[in-house]
Amino acid sequence: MKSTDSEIGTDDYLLQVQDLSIGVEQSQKLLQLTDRVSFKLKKGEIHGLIGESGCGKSISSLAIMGILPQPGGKLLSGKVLFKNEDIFCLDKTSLNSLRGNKISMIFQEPFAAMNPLIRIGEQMLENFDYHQTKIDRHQKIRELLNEVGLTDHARILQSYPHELSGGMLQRIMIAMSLLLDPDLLIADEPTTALDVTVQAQIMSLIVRLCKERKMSVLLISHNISLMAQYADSISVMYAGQIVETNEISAFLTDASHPYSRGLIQAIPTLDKAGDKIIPISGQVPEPGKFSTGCRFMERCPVSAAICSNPPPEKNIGDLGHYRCHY
Amino acid sequence: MNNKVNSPIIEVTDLQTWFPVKSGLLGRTSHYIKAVDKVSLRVNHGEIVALVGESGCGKSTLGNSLAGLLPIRGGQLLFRGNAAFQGNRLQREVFQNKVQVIFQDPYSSLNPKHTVFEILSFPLLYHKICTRNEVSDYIASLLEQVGMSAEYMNRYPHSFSGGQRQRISIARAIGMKPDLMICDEIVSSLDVSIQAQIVELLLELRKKLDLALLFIAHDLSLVRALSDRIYVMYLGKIVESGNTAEVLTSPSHPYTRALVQSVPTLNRECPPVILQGEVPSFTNMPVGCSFQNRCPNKSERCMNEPEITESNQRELRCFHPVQI
Repeated sequence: MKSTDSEIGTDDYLLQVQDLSIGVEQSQKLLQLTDRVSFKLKKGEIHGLIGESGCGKSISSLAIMGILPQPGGKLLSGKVLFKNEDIFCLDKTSLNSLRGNKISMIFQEPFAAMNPLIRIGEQMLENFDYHQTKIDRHQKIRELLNEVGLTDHARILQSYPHELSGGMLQRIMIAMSLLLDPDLLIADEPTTALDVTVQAQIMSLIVRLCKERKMSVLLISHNISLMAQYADSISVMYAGQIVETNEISAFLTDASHPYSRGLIQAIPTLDKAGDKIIPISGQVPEPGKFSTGCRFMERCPVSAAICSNPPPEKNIGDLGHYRCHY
Repeated sequence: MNNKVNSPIIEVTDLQTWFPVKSGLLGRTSHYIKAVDKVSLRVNHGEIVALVGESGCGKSTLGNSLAGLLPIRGGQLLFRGNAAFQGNRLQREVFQNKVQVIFQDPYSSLNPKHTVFEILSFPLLYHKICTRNEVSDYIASLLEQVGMSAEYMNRYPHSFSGGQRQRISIARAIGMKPDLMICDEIVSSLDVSIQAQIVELLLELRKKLDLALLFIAHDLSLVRALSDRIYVMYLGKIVESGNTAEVLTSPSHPYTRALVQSVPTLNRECPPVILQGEVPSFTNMPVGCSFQNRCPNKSERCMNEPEITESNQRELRCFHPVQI
């Protein structure tokens, strides 16, 4: 059932998130968490989703798997099209076969994502209990461990998670997520808990696998340098909205939204020697306390009276767009 | 003034912090984890010194040892020229509360059952920094110094975000009027925009209060923007030290170079270079140079342990430094 290149035309996208609004119902009050989030992913593309904590990155990415926040999570509007099929219209069985088989996910904390009481080998085999395949399971696990650069199979499969380092565990997580050859990998802050040296190893591994397998990756991170190095395109999220989307090179040279510019200026880099770090003042507003106009207004260096009206969406070139009055 | 600048606040020579590993039926010490081994380090008056390295290299252990929070096995720790340890016994009065530590996780370093007022007042009253009558005003001024409103005094930690909690931790530390603050990864759990705010605050406080900072971090770009001098640590030993800008632009130790090269930059033309291999564990250290199994410049000489050599105010522990 594997799709080939010819099935997907150049204009078609593997994943399209359209106007996705998600809320939670808490003590009879509806709290909107994301507001009309839209982005698209081509086959083999690495799309970055960047933003501060609490801006709705993880909620949006979980919604791609059909998971809404619990308890009280609600889909308010929009759809998630995976290969032109709306995943919110799928029944439970087909949704389950989608998860893991077609879309898989790796998380920030490799330690927290594993069961500490079960050996690595058993945890990897568990995958197959839920997804029937005809392939030789042990053979496949060995192949994948090789692919992620772990060669000491016997020892690793016999180990418990605490016996391995964070970098090794993240490699195992990646191997596990690839067991069923997914078309889309959602990587939610895959290297935040790791050292820079290990980060470079893991990211180059993800990029290599993405190229070899023509797999798409949704890379979620708050590290803009990481995006600059590895993503093909980027969406910036702020307070539940996507405020800017563009190709990565155009974004880095000429970011349009003041928040994007603020993010770029707020990070110290090794090559920007001597430059002052310019912080963005204030804090991200909490859900439910968003302004009705531009949500970045209070922290924006160029805000004016007009910003209390909802900002219009403007296009940048063919592919990019941003949401700002200026 | 110049004299003051160059006088060390804290100076350690050949500091060793070892943890015994007990095994067998009788629980005898079979060997030691040498988390900090023969480290010499100095923080001068009003200076910001960075300590960098991968996780598990002993940075935090060294930081805690410097604050007198851990028993040391050997070496000397001088605070303002006075020995803080007589043998293995800590002479707490030497520090006079002038060394304060701020920890990494702002969620576990503040007691959730106490209000901000209580959290900040306990150390002040215990150490008689101020009297009961003054304490409220003093805390208000501390909160103001870290950019928070005095109204927050009666709230509990759960009502604050990570960045605000870290500000409260900073307020607690500066309340003791320290000479040296040891900041152990204090921004690594915060968002970038908040990170920059905290860094700004530290720089401002340092100027205003004439503080010295030991900044323990693994984020090299942050360290580059912040610190005057840097120590690079690998497996319990300092492998290179010197002026931050110089060390990071022209690293001499192959490990420092690998660290610098693996940091992603905004420029896609120069992608990160990958350092192969994993950090060996403390229980299974290689004989000789501890970096040899990952080092591109390795030779037979590296089976012996390299000593620290000094040239141009740069200290280096390597037989085959990177040629520039």
